[in-house]
Amino acid sequence: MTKLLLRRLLSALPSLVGVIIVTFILTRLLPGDPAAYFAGPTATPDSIAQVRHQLGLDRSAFEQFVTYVEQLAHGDLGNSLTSGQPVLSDLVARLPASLELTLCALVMATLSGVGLGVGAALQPGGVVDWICGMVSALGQAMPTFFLGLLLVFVFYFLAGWAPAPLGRLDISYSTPSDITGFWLVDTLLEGDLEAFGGVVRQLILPVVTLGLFGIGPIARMARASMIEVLNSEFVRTARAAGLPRWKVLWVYAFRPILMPVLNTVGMVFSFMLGANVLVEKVFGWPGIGAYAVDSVLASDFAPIQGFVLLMAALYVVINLLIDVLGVLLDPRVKFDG
Amino acid sequence: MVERVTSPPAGRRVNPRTAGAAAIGLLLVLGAALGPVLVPFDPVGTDTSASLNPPSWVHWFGTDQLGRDIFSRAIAATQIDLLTAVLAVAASLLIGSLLGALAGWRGGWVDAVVSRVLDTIMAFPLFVLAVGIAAALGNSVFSVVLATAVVNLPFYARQVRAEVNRRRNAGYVEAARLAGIGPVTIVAAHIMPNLLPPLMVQSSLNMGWAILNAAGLSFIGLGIRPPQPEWGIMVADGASYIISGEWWVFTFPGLILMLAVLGFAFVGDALRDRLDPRRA
Amino acid sequence: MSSTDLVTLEGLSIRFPGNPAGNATVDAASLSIARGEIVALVGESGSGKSLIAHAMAGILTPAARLEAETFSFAGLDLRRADAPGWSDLRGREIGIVFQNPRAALNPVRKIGRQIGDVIAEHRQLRGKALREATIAALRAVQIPDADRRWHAYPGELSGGMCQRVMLAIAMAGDPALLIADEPTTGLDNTTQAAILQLILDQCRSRRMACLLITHDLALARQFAERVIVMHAGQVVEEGPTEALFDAPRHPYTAALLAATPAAAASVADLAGIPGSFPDLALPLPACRFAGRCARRLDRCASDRPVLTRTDRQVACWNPL
Repeated sequence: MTKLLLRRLLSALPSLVGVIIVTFILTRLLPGDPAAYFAGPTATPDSIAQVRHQLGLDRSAFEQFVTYVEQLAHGDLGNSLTSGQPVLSDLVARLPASLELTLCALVMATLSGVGLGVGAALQPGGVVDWICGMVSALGQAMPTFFLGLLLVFVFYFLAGWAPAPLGRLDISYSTPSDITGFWLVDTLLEGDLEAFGGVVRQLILPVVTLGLFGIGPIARMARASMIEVLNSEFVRTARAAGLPRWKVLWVYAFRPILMPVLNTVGMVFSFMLGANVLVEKVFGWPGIGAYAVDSVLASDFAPIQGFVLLMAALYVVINLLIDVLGVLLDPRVKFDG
Repeated sequence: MVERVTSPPAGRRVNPRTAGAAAIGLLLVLGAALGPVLVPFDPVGTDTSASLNPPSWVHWFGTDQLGRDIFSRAIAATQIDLLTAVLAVAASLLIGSLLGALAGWRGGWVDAVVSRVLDTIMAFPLFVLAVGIAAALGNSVFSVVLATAVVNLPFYARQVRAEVNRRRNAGYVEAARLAGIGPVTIVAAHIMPNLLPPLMVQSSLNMGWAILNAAGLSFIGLGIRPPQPEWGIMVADGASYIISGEWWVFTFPGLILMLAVLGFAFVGDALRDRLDPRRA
Repeated sequence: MSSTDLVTLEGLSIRFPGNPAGNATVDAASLSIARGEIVALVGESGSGKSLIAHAMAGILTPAARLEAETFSFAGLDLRRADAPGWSDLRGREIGIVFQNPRAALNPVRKIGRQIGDVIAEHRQLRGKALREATIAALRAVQIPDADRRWHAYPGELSGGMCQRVMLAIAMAGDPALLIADEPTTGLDNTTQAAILQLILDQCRSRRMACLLITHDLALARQFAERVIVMHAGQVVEEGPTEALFDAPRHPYTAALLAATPAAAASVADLAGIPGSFPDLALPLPACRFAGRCARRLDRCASDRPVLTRTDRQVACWNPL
């Protein structure tokens, strides 16, 4: 078992290495002068030369790469021109906001998707099946940023139910102190139930926007897997043996679909890491997506590089976790390798 | 008490979808080809006196903050969005297929290297990589096309690689090789034809995604530059007017965008139903 | 058939509504199984044997339509799928063992738990008592090292072991009838013999009736007391094993026996059965063997032969 986990861990390493190499290529070997990018649009030729020397851009590609890796190892992702801070500290400060949003959206999409998919499988051609199909199709075609704006328009401007899309917490509430950075947790830890409610209200629309796309693939996988399992021979054995219906459904049919569903959840998470950028912009969310967008508009290049690196690393790590979870949940993996 | 769960018949739902797909597809192509010529108003001509007018008989979709007719701009935008998507998907398809065929045919270290490259591309959340590439290459159609193409590569490469690998040792391939036929011909003439149906399905599904990608990049300011009409930019422009109630500025471009993506999704589904029925 | 029979089928038909010729897949079959009796149901693939088994076990696919004059188990009328009392029956009084044992077991659940689930359901045991009963069940099917094997997953076990687990599941409720649907397909010869011997021993010791469904005549001959022969959904002959094998009365039975390798001295002597298996999508003669029968009479196409009521039952107008 541990050997299997180790093997999975090792297989993630090439991806991480690849990610580092690609970000290096993206940022250093571009057309034009990378130093000019990093020095910023207002730099003088002197400061550009200074930056070039600082970043080691006047040396060979290989040496540059070594320096790059060294810097990474020390957590040096360069400095942001707009904030003046090291990119790493900017990212760390903003990461919890993005993670909270993404994880909530992921949980929402997974629960809804599995619910819809299983419901659809139990009654093919029924109402749930139809809803499942509609939601899937809608989620696939709807541009995330458009959905966000639409929701804001309908629920904030027209209906007045949702709060203004101005970030994580309305100014009328007191911001919780950063214990975990996840305000859902922090407000509860401080016992500030009003603020907790405020955080939840701000989260609803962004979570729906980000999560809607994810419901489709998860529901489809859950539905297809469930149908396959319900028609399988071992479910037939369970029924023939006289097991009660609830047991056949939940203990015998549901468990084997967890692995394929989990894999789909991983893919959805990857999408969400990307769509994060759009959702944060629409809802004024102070996360790393917004950080990246602002940096793009300001031609501030180091944060963009840090952002890409971080997102990719996050994805590799999450995939690894999902792999590990899969091994724990599904013993079949042991035999297929 | 006793139930056997079966999938609902897929055949019934093909017709309305195919019809819808055909209709939307036709509209898109017409819009792209003839749009800029046929539109009632100049897509880039400003007229501040007509700023922010709600939809009316004159301006079907209303006007934006610079007095430009949104309907005309939305139709004109079809050209650039479709063009970007087509170029990107075509590039992905070609380069991806080449890489995949190379890896599948040669095997060994070539395969290993290509697979690692593909894995690395797939290790990046798609939009994030697109942001990175587009940010690095600046605002232009080219950077959007390149970003979208790179990000979509692995899907094609993997499919082709698997198929070529599978058939590499097939009897008729061996026979062709012994007869002295070069590998390029073998792959192109004998193996690729089998791949065309699934690749076509994949391409049309990818078109929708490519359009979304291009629009998304433009939305955050990384893609096409204004005053070029493009659906993403138009939605971005309209975003600031939601809270003051001028809803038409962002809604119509967004709806057209959605329609385009849905259209390609339908085309993809229809193709899949026809070409690969066991996966329907 | 006697009124003390455990299972009684009379005129049982199973049809699928989509059939273009309106043919029933199982056509007015009649058979009975007495308590503790070991009966083999033999026939080629597609003869409807498994459908009858599934009908008895209550797992007939809902697309199938069942009608019968009589379909009873221990006095209970099973003609309607939602018959009261059937949910108690299923799994408890009637156990079924399938072919492809590894596919028929839940791949992500330990075998100890799977057997335990069924024992818990039928014998209302929990906790320690349940675990002990499960281990006992494993031992009864001769799985060595039961304590450790309890934790095994089906993927870790051989085909023969999986079949033993299936048997344990089928017997968990102490059933009066055990249905074994091609239980040895896919297993090697030694394992086949061992499994069947195990089934036989269990039936004897628990006084269980057994319906052994198989296309392998040798197996039927070795293990069954009585044999029922089916062809294309119709019961054609029935009788005590030795008598039936020594002197078959229905032309189909005779042809089957002649076609089996054991009966032939050499491969050259192997006689195939002429013609091909009837296509249920086309109109069929009343006796479905008529198209391939050397002893065919005119009335075979129009009149359905009935099973004659002697100690040897044959459905034929022109028996041997």
